[in-house]
Amino acid sequence: MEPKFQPFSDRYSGKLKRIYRNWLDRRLPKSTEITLSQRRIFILPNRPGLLFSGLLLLLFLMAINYQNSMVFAYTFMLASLFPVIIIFTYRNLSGLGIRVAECSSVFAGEAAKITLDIYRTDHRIRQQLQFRWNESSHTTANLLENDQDQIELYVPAEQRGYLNPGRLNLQSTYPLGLVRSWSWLRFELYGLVYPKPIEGELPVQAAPGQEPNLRKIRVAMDEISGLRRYVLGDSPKQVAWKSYAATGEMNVKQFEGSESEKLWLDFNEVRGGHLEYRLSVLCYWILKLEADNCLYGLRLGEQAYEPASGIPHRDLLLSALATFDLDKEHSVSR
Amino acid sequence: MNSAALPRSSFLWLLISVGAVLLPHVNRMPTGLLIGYGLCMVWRTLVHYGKAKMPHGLVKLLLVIAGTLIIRQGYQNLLGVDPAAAFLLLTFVFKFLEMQRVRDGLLIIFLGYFCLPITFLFSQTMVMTIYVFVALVVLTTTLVKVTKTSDQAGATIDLKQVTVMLLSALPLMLVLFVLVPRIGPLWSVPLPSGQSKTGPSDSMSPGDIASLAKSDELAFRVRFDGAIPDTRELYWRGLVFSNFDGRTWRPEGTPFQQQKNASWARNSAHEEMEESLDIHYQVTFEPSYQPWLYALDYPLTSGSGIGLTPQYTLLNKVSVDQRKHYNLVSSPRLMIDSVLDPASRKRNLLIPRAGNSRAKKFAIEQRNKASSDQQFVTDILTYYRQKPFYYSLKPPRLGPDSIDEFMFDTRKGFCEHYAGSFTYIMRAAGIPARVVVGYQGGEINHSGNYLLVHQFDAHAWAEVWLQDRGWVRIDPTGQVAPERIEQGIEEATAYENSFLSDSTFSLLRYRDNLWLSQLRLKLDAIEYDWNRWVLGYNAKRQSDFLKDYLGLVSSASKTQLLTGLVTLFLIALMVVFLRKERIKITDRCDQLYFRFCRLMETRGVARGAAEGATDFSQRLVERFSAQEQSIRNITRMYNYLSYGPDINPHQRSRILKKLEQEIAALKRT
Repeated sequence: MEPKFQPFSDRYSGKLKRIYRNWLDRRLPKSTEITLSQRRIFILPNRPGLLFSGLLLLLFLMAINYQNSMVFAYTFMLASLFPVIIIFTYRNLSGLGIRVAECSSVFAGEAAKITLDIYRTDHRIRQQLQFRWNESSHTTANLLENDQDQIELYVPAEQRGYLNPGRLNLQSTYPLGLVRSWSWLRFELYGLVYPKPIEGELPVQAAPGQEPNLRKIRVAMDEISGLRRYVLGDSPKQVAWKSYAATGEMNVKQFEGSESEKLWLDFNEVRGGHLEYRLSVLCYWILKLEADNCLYGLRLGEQAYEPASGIPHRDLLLSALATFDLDKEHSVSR
Repeated sequence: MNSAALPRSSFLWLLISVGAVLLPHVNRMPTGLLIGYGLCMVWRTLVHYGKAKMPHGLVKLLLVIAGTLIIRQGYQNLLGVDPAAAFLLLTFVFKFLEMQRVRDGLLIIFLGYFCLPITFLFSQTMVMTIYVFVALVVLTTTLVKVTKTSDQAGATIDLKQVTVMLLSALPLMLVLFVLVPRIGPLWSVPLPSGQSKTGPSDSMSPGDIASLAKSDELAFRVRFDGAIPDTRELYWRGLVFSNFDGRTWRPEGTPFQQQKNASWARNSAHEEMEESLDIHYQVTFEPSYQPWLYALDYPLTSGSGIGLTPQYTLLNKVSVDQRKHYNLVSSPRLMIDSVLDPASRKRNLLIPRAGNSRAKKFAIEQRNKASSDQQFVTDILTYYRQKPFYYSLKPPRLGPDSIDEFMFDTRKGFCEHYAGSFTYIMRAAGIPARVVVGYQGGEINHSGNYLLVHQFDAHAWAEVWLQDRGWVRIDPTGQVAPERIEQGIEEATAYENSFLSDSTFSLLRYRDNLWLSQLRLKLDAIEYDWNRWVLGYNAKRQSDFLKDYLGLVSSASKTQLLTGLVTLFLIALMVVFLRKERIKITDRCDQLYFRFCRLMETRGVARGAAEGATDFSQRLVERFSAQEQSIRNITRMYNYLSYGPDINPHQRSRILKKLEQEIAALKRT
């Protein structure tokens, strides 16, 4: 989906559009940190700017027909202002730095939060910096006294894989609103889009005639195999509170079930559906088993992840789902 | 974006802008409109503060109709500049009343940009120019405020920004003003015509010139090539009146006939016989909204739209609606009409048969006593001098036999009474005579070395035709009040204290005050230069200026100069505003570390703008594993010096030295 506001890529369809985008890609490569310079800034008068030129023409006619020296002077003053406006509008963007500060991972269909640091490499004030990823995700920033600022944008993550919200449009018409300078920013983002969770049958390889029983599995988790260091996000139920009271160290109990009690989620066991559906079901079960404090592992193609539990484990598995069978380059040039 | 709501912070600026654009037009507007505009501005302000609602569509329609009707009432001719300006301002103010969106705000500013210079069609004084350019700053700042989506900056930041921008545009404006070719009007446009005519009109009745004498308005300025002639010789001829109906003097022929009879070609015959006595001068004539111009006796040359009438007066092709500059040569020795043709003779002898019988009788008696026409003229002038005649700005009203009453009863009058009665008596005695109206004298401005002629210098005198001498100027007023001719009207009316008695605040009233007088003349000298060099900068002056000062004649060389200067301006603009701001590093440790960073950059790894030293070293080590030790040492020393504990200066300089050596060593690898 192309955002509506893109004035150029939207106006030319088909081949022309592709040529333009390829040119943009070559001219403005991906980066995690971008400093705006003449290579990246485009500048043209906008509609009020064209109206202003029409006004200049009218004023010039008035000066000529009335042979009025001061109307000439006034017209020339406004006309001389135009190159100054261009310089000042350009100056408002040039020397500006933008860096990805944070990028969250999300499930497909949700909006990913992207936090950008904007800063200046000089001491000039910046005003009316309009950042837009699309119609619903835009914000305006200023750098007046502060040398840097942080902005947050939410971009919809439609497809599983690497988060790729396309180009960020940065534009400004400051100071006079008659000339628009803009740039297209492409960031190297590290956010992932996990599959959208879809409920389905538990995809485990069951012994013949033996239905997997969740309750039984949970009961089996009484045997503690050891402790490990607490990681932010671990369930409080698993924290070894007794040892915390004794030693002041926060640890998490680790369980060791017998081989038959470990759950191996298996890509090949998901019934029916295409690749994305299968991953979605696996995703659903990873979330569910984590919430139920189960031990779960994952067999995904060649890869096998040993059963365990905890937020880091969950995220590892989700990342595996997100990037499974994904040609990175293919995903990027979507 | 343009359909977004107008930012609240821009409202006050818009209000000020609308006021600033309206202000110079206030005294030209019908009162009804003025009140209406005021109401609209107050209404919108109340809406802004939530005290009133936006006007309903019907109300807006009614307002537009009311405004249009007032304009129809206020201006007779709807095609002139004034009603057009009034309509524009009406749109401007109504748009302000109904504005809600950014789009409306933009439109208001653009209309304001267009309405602002209309003021110049009416007045181009320096004060007005300064006002308009200040208003331009206000309007442009408003534009900044209107196009902002989130306004965090205070007014001063944007005001400063706009002022800097306009000042930076100033050099280019001057270049364009001087060099852009001035072409003639593409089509004829109506000129501002609302003003009343000034100066002598095309008829003269008793009291006409006396009323002119109450005005301290400027008529024209004159710069002489040589010395300024004696004040007694400064008779500025404007109109010649030959027809008299018993009360009013009029010129011969209709305005159309006058135009037809005038010679419009440059009179080259006279130019060749240049005399040392000829006076060369330039007149800067203020708009009079009448076609006649003024010259010293007797103008030789005409041209550039100026015609010379058979009576040696000057006519402009159209009425003078804008300040006009013209160069003249006058020859005071020239004899005009050495032979008077019978028709002219007859016309200049005509007096109404009825009325003024005493004057007629008096004229014939006196003529019979005199030995010659010349002697008769002298006798009559003596009569004026010896009888108790008074020169007065407040003469008594005269009845139907105005000449009789004036000559023998009231004997109080202004120049037109003297000129009129003298001419009448000459004609009654059979000597061709006529009345001439114009200005006499003027005020010398020493700081600018030129002459100022005001409306109160308006004067009337007579010309009689004498054998072998042609038309001879006779000024009977000079017999009664010689100070009028020598020092001006102020001295002549000093005894009755009537000079400019209606205008207390006229600076001219205080000519006695030396300091004020000097100040006024200094200011006028500036204004005169402004008029001549800036406002009068037209196609001709442009080509003269470029030829005289820059030696440019061909249009190609002018274009080259213009292009060159514009390019130069653009380059200067970029150099000034886009140069990289160097952040000065004073700390020795930082200096050394940046030296290290630059070195690494030349080897292909640049430090990110916010990358920490340790992170950077990690990346470097991956790339340059051979220099790992060196890189780590440098980073450690830098971190220690920058973020480590306070150490004594001696220790510090020792580490700095080591750091420098390490970097130098790295550079050699």
